[in-house]
Amino acid sequence: MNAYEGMFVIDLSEVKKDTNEVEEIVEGLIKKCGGELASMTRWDERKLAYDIKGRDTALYTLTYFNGAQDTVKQLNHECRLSSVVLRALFLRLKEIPDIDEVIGMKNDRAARDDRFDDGPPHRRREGPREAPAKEATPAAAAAPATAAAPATVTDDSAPPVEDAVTPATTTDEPIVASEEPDTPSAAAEPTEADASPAESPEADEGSPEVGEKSPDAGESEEKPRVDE
Amino acid sequence: MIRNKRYKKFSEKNRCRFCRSKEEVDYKDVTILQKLCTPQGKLFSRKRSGNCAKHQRKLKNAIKRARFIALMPTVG
Repeated sequence: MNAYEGMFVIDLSEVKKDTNEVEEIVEGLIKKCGGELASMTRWDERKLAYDIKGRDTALYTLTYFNGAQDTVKQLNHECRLSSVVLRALFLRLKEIPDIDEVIGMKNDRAARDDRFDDGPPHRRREGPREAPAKEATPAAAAAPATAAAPATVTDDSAPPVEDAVTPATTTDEPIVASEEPDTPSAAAEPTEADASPAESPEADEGSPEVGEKSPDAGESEEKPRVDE
Repeated sequence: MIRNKRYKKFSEKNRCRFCRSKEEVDYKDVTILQKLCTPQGKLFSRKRSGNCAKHQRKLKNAIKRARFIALMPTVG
């Protein structure tokens, strides 16, 4: 005699679930095949993962019984013929567990749904992900169209917009820059427009940093006037 | 003795959840089975789940049993 665990999937449309009809059917099947029923419980009534014989809901009945090897063979055969049993699964055990422990284990598992919630190991992170800090690149400061945006984002770079705009507009063509005060790019103030062409020759040679150019702007204002 | 110490030291760093929690794999424990499967019901690899070979085999059998009695979906 061996110990077995049997899980019967019962069709609820064929059975009155409020009565003991389910237990009687399952017990009758086991006894008919030469088994000795040890314990039985209604494990769960749940929706099936896929339809079986057109049914989407079923009652799972968990049983523990003792029997010979032929008992399981006959049980499988009887379950196929039965219209009440949709599926049946039989497993051999070393010993029959206490049915109360099994039910308690099931309730305990349902209460602790957070088990294994730490995720796969390679996805675990020790801390929350931090967004990378935005940095104002020198290329962005040199671009005339986008020069205003980094000046507003970075509070540390104290120089105002006028300093950021000046090198970019004048670096390419210092000669034409004398005519630029009329252009709308330097339309902020007339004093700034005068300063912008003046910086142009120095901006080509000097560093792109803005802070150093502001003192040079005062000196460079004199040069175009001298040329003229 | 030395070998036992080494094994103990290794077991502390075990990545397998079932080894750490000392729970048995059960086909009726659908919540755990679903956490170790894709939404389709396909089993995660050992590399992804971190299971040891022994528990990965048991998990494989448990999922197949759960599929048979329609506790878990089958993959076409």
